[in-house]
Amino acid sequence: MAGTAGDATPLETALVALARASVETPALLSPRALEPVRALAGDGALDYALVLGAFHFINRIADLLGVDPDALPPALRRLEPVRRAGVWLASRLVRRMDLRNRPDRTDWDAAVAAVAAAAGAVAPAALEPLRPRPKLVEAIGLALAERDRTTLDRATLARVHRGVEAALPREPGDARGLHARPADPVDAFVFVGTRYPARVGAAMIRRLRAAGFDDLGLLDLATAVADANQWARLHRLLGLPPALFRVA
Amino acid sequence: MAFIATVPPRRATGETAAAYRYMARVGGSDLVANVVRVFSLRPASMRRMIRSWELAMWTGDEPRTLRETLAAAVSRLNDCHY
Repeated sequence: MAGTAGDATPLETALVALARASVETPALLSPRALEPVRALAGDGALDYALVLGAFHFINRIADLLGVDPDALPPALRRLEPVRRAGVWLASRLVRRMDLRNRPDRTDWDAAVAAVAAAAGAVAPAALEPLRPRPKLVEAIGLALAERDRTTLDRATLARVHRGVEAALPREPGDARGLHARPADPVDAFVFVGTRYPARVGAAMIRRLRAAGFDDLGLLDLATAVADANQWARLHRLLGLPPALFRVA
Repeated sequence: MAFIATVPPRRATGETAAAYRYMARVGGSDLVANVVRVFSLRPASMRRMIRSWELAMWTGDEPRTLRETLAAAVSRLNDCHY
């Protein structure tokens, strides 16, 4: 980001660089992309990988389902006095929350068993890179459980997973430019939701509703796109087998 | 207003109300982010969202400020208000 502070710490700089790579060139991510953070934060790099994956998920849920901002809408933020009042109010509200860290109490064996049961043929040894942070295994288990409770059929789920992989940006222009979109409403939703989720709008949702998606179907389709995008980044950064989550 | 229907906390009953109470326990307040509320058609999915968020942002020893820095950078680069 052009506005990154000049006095940012080395770790802050490394985190922003990782965020940029995850948005602009996620198809090229590998465990090597996490090394600058690992050199500064040790196994904390695993915690940051989880944050990164979680926000690729959250951003897509917000944009693909048209979730209202909790703070001021962008149009009102352009008015400086209103923006300042909004920041003040938001800070008062957030102060009511308990944001203190909590210990990672995830049981390694139980989390691995849950993932192995849901993922089928994947050997538990594949999860060894995550042993310093069992919570990552729990997070993957939660995503697998969500995948398996969806109302989407397996063929549609596999189509979403293939579509996300195919659309994943390989160069910065892929995440910003103007590109031909697939004609099919599901494929178009997957493509736009992967490359530039902020461009999903009401017209795309109307086309999906016309194709038979109700509210729950839309929730499941958006979740599938968001989870596949989270996984596309996590498995590359953490050196995990793609088939652990992906439906063929 | 989201593209899909949601159940607000004041109208939630049963498992949905329990999921909102779970969010209150995690966050330490009755604030519910809209990105959590959008899962309210299926309480199990809402609980998954809340627990995943807790694992990413609350669990472990890395400073909250740095986690928020990374989250904000991802959101900014994705051009997302969240």
